[in-house]
Amino acid sequence: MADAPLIFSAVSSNAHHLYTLLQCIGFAPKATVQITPDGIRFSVEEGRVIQGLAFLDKALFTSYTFNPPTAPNNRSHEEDGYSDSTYLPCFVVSLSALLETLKIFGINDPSAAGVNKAASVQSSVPPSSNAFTTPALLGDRSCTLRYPQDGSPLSITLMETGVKTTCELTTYESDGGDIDIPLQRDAIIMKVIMRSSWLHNAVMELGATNPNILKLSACADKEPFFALSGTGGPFSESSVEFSIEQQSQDKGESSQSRKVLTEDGTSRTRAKRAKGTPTVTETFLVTPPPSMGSRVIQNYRFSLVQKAARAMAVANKVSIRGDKQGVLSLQFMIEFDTNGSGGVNSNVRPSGGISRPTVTFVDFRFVPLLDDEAADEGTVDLY
Amino acid sequence: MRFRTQLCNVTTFSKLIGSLSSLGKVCWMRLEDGIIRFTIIPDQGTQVWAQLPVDAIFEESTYILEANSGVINLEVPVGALHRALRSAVAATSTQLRLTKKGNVPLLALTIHASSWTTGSNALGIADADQAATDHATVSGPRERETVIAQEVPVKVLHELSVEGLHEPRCRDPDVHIILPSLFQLKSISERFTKLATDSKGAGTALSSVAPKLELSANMHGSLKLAIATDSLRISSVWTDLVNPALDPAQLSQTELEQLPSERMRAFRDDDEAGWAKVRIDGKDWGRVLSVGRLSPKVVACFIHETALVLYVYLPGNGDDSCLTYYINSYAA
Amino acid sequence: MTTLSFSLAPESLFQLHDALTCLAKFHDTVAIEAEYDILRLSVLNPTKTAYTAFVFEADTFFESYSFALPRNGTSSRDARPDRFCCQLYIKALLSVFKGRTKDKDTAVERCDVELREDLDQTECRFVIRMICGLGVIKSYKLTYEAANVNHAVFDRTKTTNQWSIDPKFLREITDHFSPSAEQLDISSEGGKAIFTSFTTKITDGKEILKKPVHTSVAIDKRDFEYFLVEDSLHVAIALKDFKAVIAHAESANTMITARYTRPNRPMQLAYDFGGIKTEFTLMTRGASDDEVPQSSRAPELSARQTPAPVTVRQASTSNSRNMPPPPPRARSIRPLTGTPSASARGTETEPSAETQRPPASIDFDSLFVPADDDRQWDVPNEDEETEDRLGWDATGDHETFNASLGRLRDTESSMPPQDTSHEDDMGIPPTQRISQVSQLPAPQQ
Repeated sequence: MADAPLIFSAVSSNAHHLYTLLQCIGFAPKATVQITPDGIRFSVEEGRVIQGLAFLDKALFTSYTFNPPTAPNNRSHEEDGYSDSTYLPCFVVSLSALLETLKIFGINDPSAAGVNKAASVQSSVPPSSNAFTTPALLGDRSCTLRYPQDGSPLSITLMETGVKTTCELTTYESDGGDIDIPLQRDAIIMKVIMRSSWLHNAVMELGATNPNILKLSACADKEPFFALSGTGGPFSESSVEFSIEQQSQDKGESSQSRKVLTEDGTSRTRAKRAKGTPTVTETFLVTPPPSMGSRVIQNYRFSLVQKAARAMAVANKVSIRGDKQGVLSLQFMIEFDTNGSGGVNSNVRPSGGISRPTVTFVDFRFVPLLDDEAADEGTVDLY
Repeated sequence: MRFRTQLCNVTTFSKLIGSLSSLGKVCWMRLEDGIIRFTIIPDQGTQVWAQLPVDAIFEESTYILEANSGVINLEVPVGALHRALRSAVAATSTQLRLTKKGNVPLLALTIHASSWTTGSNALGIADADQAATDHATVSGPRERETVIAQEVPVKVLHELSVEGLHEPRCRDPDVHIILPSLFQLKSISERFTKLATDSKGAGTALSSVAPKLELSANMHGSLKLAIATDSLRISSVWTDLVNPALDPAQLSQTELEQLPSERMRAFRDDDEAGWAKVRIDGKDWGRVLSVGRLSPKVVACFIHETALVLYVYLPGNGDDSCLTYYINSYAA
Repeated sequence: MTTLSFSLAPESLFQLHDALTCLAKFHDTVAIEAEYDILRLSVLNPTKTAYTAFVFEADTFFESYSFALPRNGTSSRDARPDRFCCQLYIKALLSVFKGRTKDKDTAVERCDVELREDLDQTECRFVIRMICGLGVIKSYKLTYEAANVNHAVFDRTKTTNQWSIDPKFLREITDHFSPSAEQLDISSEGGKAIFTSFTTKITDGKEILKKPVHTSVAIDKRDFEYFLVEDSLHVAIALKDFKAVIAHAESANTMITARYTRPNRPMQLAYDFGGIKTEFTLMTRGASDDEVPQSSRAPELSARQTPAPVTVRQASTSNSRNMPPPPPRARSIRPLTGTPSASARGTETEPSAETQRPPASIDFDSLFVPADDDRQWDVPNEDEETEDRLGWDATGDHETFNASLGRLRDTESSMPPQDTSHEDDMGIPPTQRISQVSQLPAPQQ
């Protein structure tokens, strides 16, 4: 074993990128980690009703070395393209400790203090770039992740002028692997793409009245086309409706470049702006099966959806999808300007012709509340 | 018994009291001719013994001290005094005196502050939309004076009640080293403490015992801060720090050579044996480091597995103004 | 059917938020009264020592405002048939009218508020719609409850003391006070106006170091727009209330005016700006010396009442399952405890909240209701203190000490000249009044 090559080692010059992505799923104390040739996958879940997944794309690192270990015997996984003799390491670490460690990086850097930006809909500038890139100061810093051997700790080394911090996180065997909340990709009945800050703003707005239930309502041909409402709060009912702004044409909205989020494996059809498309959405597809009528209505526990607020705040765009079973998927696209890290963007996924920023994704899935659960919570319909 | 003085360096005084207030609620303030001492002796945790020449914070020409024994000992609520001093930071003059109201002795601050009014213009802006409601009389800018009186209740301590209090004595240190930026050290220490508290708190409901940080250093300019829990081991290492020379005037050449720190210096810089280590309470350590607000030079003296003594020198005062922190090492 | 509807421009929305933030510092529910030409938000604090009202003028503050009462509805039950009253939790309103960023995209372009009260409907709601840019519409439905509303009445024509000042100067003064200070004494001497913070709670004598810091701040009378106050008059109000008022006045960027007569009478702080009229009526306490004669005086009528227009609604609002209504507020006038001949007395004619004042133990009088609510202001049981002595005083004299305790309580607010006749065994010079200090900047002796 001693002579076996290091399984994994990666160096980043900007730990804040890693921190930004991981804190999006920071609602759970422990994360399941899987190291792949394309990046590191961190997943968290709670009570099998919410799942969060952050993928640290290898493009975020200035160097990324992965030597898949050889399976002792029977531990072969059928991962695409890999021989039966190797497998992808998978283990559990303390996510809260990892986040706290990453925060040490740049502790003297006043610009790092402002990472937690207030929720506001900014212009289309990626929120990440103004919050914590001070390239001039990053020269002598590095953050190294290492997983030398199967079962060894995951080590994070932060180098800054004069001080070197090493954290070794104990790795635990993953118990039963990932519990994926299944999203039926062939039964998607709703797909909405818009700037994530709109969703964030709406959830913050509803959160102020402290509701129990988030009701999502979407319809392609009747108002309200797309609405989120909070019910079951102590004082009031509230709703945020995304409708068609009358004079939207002269707001320059249509001139915005419309990048359509890609989901792995699906074709990137550009949504046509139908008649009943809210102004803030760039894709708005609602295709419920005939049994449901024309409106998709689904209830979720508000406190769970709120756990994705961090991701909503930092992401550029969100793709909101719902399947026939009511499973809700929020896929957040987070762009990082990795100009400083030089030529690592060549091998990453296509990002719609835009080459400079590194595009990363954070995914959330939610199990819906059943009708009788919702009734127990005391829903009062607004519509 | 009489004590009265003008303050001359309010910012330093205020920061000093602020640093002390993080370690204890009350401090023993000892006023003597030429010297002021502040001492914090909490039930648990770090002791501070600070000594300053009068002119470090008081205007010497106005310093009046009259007492039978030549000394006044006061027990002062440092938090309240710190707050009161905030009023004085931007003042034109501040007088501090011992006085009394009823039977309650007080440290009274009389603060004169002045500022300039903006004249009628600024008010004019406010009045523009509402000329009907107010009638700002037209006047140019003028100096306005505010007099603030802050009265902090104190106790006067009898000499007998403090004569049993002595500064701790320690053996010669194994390692002495100048600490890096206290801001950085404090931030990292706090993260470590939080890491240890979090990972412990998950399992045991009552983790009343604060986590212990391991602090160690060698005579080759390295300082190490570390903590370990079940779920992680983390350490930060600073290098290229200075191991200051001890005052040769106080020690003979042979004495110097026989110092424990010289024996430690003889070890190679990668030899574990050359490191002196102490275990300190993370929360208490954070409070100690709040002295960083004074931007002092801090020499840390490690007495292996026994104690850590910090000599905190205030900037611009030579070595005359020094706060000494005595921190016990916990057993492993 | 009662209908109230109005629209607010973004700027008014900010002002409404500021007003609610201020009101929330006095109590948790706000009374809303609609009349044909104004909308009034008012709060009476739980101890009934502070009344706060913001009056919004229909034609200047709102973009549009319309109010209609049923033609011949239930008006026979109403004392004031020309208005509608209800109350809401301020927290609920604040969550709707919360501080909104002026961010261009999410900014609210218009806010429409509508209230329809129809006795045939089970649910009566306050409906608020925020129309934002890019077709985003945020809407809220709040439950409300019927309420009786009292106004503290303050007759400005009887004012004998009055001053006006930029609230910024007042805020600079209160910044010097300890956060734990409870009361504020206002007085003047010579060319100075003096603001002194103090705390009526007496701490255990052994805990001398936990005694509150006593702070006084003197500013020049020239800092005021005008300052017409009887010299050496001391009045005291709750510091928390004062801070709440000046914080709002400062944000409104307007001069604030105080009007009062004497201690144990209400003080009114007021300012008007941009279609909003504010008034804060605060009960004062004062120096111990001048309170004794008042104890025999009968209280006077101090409040107007507006009964709830429709009491039936109580039942209907309870239908909303997930929104508990605010607790009913006891705002009815209680019988006054004064002598029956109260109305015959002509010496004090301002219809303020004078109440009976037992000597030397009560701090604040209620604006409306005497006695009962005041117990919380009482000093702790004095028995607890009889054994205390100053820790440093080996020759502690119980008699002297207790006397000093008693005097401390009674006279803190007035800061009378200190009794320096004691034998001063520690040889510490007595404290000074700030006026003396300012006259003698150089140390005496």
